Amino acid sequence: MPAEGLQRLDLCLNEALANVVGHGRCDSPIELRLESLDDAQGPEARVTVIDQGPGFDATQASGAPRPASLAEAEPGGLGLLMIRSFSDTLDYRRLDGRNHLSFGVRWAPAG
Amino acid sequence: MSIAFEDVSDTLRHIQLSGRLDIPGTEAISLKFTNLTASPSRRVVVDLRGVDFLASIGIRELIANAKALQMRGSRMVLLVTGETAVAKTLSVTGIDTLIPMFTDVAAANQAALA
Repeated sequence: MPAEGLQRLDLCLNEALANVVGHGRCDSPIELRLESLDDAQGPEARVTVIDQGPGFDATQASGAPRPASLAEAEPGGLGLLMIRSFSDTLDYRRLDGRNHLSFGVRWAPAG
Repeated sequence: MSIAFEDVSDTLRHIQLSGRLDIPGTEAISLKFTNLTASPSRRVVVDLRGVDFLASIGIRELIANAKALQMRGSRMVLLVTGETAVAKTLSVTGIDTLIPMFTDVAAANQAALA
């Protein structure tokens, strides 16, 4: 996996976990899954973050609006924007009372 | 995560950040960074060329201190290496439109002092 893709996956994972912790959804274990996929669109590394907190669809939630000036800038909402910007695939499912947020990074196959 | 500074002149300070500006990295430098940007007489160039990972918590740290500087009538600008993940992160989040971002030291200094 190219370093650039690994860095994007690292950023997405960091923001996804910060989101779980920041919204107080970390009282129960957080499960992480890493999958290596390869289909017609090329190779993909996909991470799924599974937590047992209240339902939260990061693919639909609106991030903070972009402030027009520094004076108007407020914290929050940047993590979701970063996940959407840096992932190539993004999916959310609520399964068995748990949030499953998956994000993947694709890269061009070697050769 | 490390933080260092250089007072280039009586009116300009460079703050160099290096490492990962993630949750532990930001917590490690937060107090010193706030203190270093609190100088009433110096504009600030924050040198991010040594930062290889910039998380949202690190961006919030930059915004909070840039706002505090602006409220005191001062200014912060950012110095980055072009085409890096850090530059891209600042661009996709729109932060580069709030805090001026440069890849050239002389241009950053000039903008900070303008």
